[in-house]
Amino acid sequence: MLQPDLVQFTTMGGGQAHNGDEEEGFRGATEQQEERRRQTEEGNPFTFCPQLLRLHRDHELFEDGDVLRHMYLQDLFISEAEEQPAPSVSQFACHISGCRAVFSTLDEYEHHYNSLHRHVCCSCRRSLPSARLLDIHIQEWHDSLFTILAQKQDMYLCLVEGCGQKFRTSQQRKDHLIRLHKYPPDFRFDKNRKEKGTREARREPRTDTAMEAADDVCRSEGVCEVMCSIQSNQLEQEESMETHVSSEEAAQIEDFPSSAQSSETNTEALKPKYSYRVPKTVCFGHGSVRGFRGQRSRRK
Amino acid sequence: MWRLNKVRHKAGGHANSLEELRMRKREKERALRQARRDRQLVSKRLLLHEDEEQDTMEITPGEQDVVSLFHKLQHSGTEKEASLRALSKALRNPSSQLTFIKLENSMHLLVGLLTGSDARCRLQAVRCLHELSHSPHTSVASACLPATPYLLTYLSGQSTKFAELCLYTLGNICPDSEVVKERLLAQGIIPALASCIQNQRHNLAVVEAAGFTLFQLLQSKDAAQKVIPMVLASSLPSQLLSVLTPDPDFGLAPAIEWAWCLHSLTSSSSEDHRELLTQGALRQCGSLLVSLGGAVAEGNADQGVELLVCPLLRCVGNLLSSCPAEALRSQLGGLHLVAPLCELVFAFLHTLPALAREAAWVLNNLTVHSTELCSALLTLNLVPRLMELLPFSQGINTMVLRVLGNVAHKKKEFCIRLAELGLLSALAATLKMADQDMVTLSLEVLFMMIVSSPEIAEQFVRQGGLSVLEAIQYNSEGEVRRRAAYLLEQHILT
Repeated sequence: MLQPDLVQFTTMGGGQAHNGDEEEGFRGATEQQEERRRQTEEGNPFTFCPQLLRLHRDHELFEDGDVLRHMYLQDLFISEAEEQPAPSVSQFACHISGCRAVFSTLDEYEHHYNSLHRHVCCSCRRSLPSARLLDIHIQEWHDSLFTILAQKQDMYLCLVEGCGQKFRTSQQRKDHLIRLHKYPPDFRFDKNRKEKGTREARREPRTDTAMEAADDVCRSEGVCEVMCSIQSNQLEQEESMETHVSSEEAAQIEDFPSSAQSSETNTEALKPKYSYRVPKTVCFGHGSVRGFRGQRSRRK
Repeated sequence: MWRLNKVRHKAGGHANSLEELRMRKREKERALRQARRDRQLVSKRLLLHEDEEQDTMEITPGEQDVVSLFHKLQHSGTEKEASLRALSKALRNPSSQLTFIKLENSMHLLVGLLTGSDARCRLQAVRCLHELSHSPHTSVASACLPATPYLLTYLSGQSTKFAELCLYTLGNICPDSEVVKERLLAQGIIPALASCIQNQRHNLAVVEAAGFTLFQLLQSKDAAQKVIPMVLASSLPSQLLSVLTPDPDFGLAPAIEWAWCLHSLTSSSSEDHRELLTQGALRQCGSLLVSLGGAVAEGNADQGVELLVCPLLRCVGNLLSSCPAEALRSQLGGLHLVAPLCELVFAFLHTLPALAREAAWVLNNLTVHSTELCSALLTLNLVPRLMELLPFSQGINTMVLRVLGNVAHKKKEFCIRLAELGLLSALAATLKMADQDMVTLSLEVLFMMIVSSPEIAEQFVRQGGLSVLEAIQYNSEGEVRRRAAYLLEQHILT
């Protein structure tokens, strides 16, 4: 909105006008400004500084007022508010690069984000409706230690919070859910792991239609098809690497801060261009999302 | 006329229904917007006869009459005044205007009558010129050049109606052609205007007309180089400032014209406004805004007040931008501008959002240097209401957020106070907006808040801010991601 050639900035310290240049350093005199400068020098990307904005008469910000003035000069001025258009309200937009969803209320945004981006499994991109279900999913689908233990003990936890019962197989758990908790037999968040294979096979051709997938998200069965442009072969590598996950790392799965640490060491392998908070193999609700990259943003 | 107490009456044609009127208005507005984008925005004014009613502007007899009237004027000795009167009516028609100027010696004749010994003929002759000046054809303006030295001379006369007509005629023709404008400048239009309003300062209709004329002169593309220095060197600026205060009986119209002149003076070039500042322009405009803002807030402002508020806001905004920080307090002279400005923002938000945005811009410039004024925003309890503006787009929320950023930037204590007033939850919402500028600004303000106190960081986390920042790390803009990541790592998660 601020047209550089028609705006001049002067910063807090100086009184001179500088044409066009938006990123001005500041020549502060106060202690606070010195401190801020120090922060600037430490790789701090924040640059806000109070700025005087001087607007040329041709600036677009002045358009409406000028039109009003000339309507008056040409005798077409009407003072009463008749059919005045309401001031426009900002929309909200999903941050996830490539997700083009736009909302008119904050509630819609929150609902969208929480439903589709919040509890997403890094490994297989499935979106689960809650942190608990995500944890269970990760454990049952992507944790090799779980697989090992499940051969000897009851590991499949009942999905209903508070129930606490465990079962030897997922089928037994499913029966339990249907019998005791009256769940439908086709409960969407209790798919069997063997179905995963069919999904993987479908994944490659979907890369091309990745953009449409974002729109399909809302209609999907709770599965977020948001794809990472990190190549899917790299994904295969991750899957295969899981079998080599040490028990030590597995023990760290539950502990968020430590998994953050392990993510540091895995950074190079992952090569994320914009986030290294995301642990390689384990995702929790926070920061568990990958989005499109390199796609034109629909943000203005 | 365009006098504001007759605002309902519209010029030109017979606008029968309200719907027709609205359509014309919308079309006109579209045309004006396009003209502005083409940098061709120019308007003319037509002073109607006393006996004319605005909405019954007659479509006058056609071209033939112009020719015959001209011949009559050339040859007959008597009834010149009546013929001139008829001619002026005939010249309302654009094609008649063209016809007339193509007739040989037509202008010579008019000028003769303009400068002759019959005063009533002079008046009618100037009326004819006035009709010609209103022509949409730019060639007509050049045809009027022979008359200009006389029009200028008459400005220092005493006849008010006559002066008005001369002024509007001059004002109408000067934007039409470079040649005309240069000639007028050379013939001394600036000093003529200055002495005119000196002599006729009590005649507000003339003052208004002079303001219009100067405004027209200032619209030329090279006004900054050619016109403005001359204006600033004359006595016009000080006279201008004294004229800005509206007269309660006559209305806002003269102040409106001169305020727009002042806006043209302060916004056309990159020169600093030292002379205007020394003459107290900032204080004058500021105090007017205080009283107008108060009236608007109480709901008893005059009709059309926005036509005056708009240029005053712009003057203050641009004058502030060249006012050195140290001089701010003395320039404003104890004016309490912050509250009236906020009132203007709130008042115009739904009726004229563009004005609300301009007022917010002025607030930004006001709060850049002054800790005192930022403090006033807090102590006068204006911040919560400002935060209510954050949903509104098209430049309003970005400007308001800048203002809040200016406040936060001054002192840690201000950040704490802002947090107490709920800025963090407001930011949690603005961080999710589609407008990338809003997101970036929100991150900047959030950063200032968080580094000012660890409690604020904790509060932000408690309010669920972490997930927003983490989501932002997937934003498509690198600068946005960097900021979010930096904030998370350096200040929240450590």
